[in-house]
Amino acid sequence: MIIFQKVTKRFGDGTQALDQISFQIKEGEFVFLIGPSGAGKTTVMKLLRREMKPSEGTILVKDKNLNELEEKEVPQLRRNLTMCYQDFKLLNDRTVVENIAMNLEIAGVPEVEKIERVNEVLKKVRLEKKGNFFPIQLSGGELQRVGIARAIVGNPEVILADEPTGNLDPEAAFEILKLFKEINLAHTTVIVATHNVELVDKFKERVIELKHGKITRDAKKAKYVA
Amino acid sequence: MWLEKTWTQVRRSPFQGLAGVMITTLTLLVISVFTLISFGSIQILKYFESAPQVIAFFKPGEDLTDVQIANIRAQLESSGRLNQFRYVSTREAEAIYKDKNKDNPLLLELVDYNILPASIEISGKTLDDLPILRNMLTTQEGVEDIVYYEDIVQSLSSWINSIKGIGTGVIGYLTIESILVILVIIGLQIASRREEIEIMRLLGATAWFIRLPYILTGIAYGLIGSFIAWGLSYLLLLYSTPWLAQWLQDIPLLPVPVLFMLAVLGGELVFGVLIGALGGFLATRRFLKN
Repeated sequence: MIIFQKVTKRFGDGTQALDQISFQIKEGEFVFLIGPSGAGKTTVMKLLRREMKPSEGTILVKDKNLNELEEKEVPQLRRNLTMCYQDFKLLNDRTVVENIAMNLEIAGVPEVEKIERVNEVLKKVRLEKKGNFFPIQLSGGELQRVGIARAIVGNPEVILADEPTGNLDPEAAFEILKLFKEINLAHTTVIVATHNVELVDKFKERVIELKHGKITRDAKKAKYVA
Repeated sequence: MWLEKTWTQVRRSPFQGLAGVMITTLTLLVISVFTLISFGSIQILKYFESAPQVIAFFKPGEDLTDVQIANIRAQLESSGRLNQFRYVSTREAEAIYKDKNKDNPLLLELVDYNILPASIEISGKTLDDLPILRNMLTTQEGVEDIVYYEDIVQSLSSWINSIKGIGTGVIGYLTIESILVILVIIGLQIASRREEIEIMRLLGATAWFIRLPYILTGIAYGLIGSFIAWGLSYLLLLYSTPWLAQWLQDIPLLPVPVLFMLAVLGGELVFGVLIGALGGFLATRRFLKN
């Protein structure tokens, strides 16, 4: 489903974020992308959502070459490969429901269906009682769950999460990763970028390790059992 | 959904919205006033153009024979410049005089047809025809005096042209100013919602999904401004109607037809929408680069 072929990314100042990396991710896979800060994890995420283009190499998503993707096709790609962020990227002047519904508004989902789907995902992330809360009234773990709800409400094929546990305590972080695993069990491809190796080890999933823009490990571990 | 989003957008920045509405109201009010002045001026000009432009008076108490009238008419018509021709006999002049002074018995007693002159009233096809027609009338036997309206019509015409010129200039200036003010206001709104816009882009919103609420906000300012400007100009017109009626006297200009005012409203709504849409569109082009 996702294929990176000898992808290199160099920035204008000469920094090389990725150096000829190649990997494949199948549909419905759960993959951890690990490595220290500056290893190139975020660059991989951004390349996958066409927030930037590679300097060299090819990126294929469902057989579509992202280098050849037209600008008008990018919004659709981003609706299909949604993202959860370390800083949540929620709007503080909107309620939980409104933040989640924004994704559906963008996709042009009718009002009635929108309400149904938002309520459905609120249950999935166990926030059904906090729909009318504003982000400032929620804990870090709850904010990330709102971010996840917003990401899954449009039924994307792939969910990308860039350091989703970076701002959370260990317990909340574990709960968030469990939630990603639950989403993955419903056949959604999940790619989580993190530098928290201890947490990753608890899940026994495929791990792609990056260091200085190169893949240093790509290993499949035994399945995590909840 | 878009109406709701636009309303939210307007409500979020009430003072910016007020500034946008006020500037479009001012522009469209000036447009309304100049439209009404132009309409009135054209009607006044038409009135004067359709009225007799040259009147030749003959000796008091003496009427022309039918042959004399026919000869004069034939001469004037041969020039190809005559538009209207009317002979007013001394009896008709007396009737007109009596009608105009029916409220003044003293004046009615003093005057009868014996001291009133017969006259020929003519109008030309264009204002340029008048000097030639006047010269032809001057040479007719028995003509004692000639009253000539060319100067009035010409100065009125040049006044109207000046008003149109000044109006076009002022409207042009205010239109550009309105577009720029809306551009700046929407630009400020975009700057204050930068985080939201960024998140929308990350969630996969298309460029038009992000732009449209801002363009619609500009259009809303234009529409509200149009309605207010039209209402104010109508009130102004109704308030000044008694004074205008006195000033215009016989010129049939008032009341201004409701259909005409509705047409002005329609025009203003279109113009308001264009100003708002252009301001909004330019702001999104300038401040929402991909």
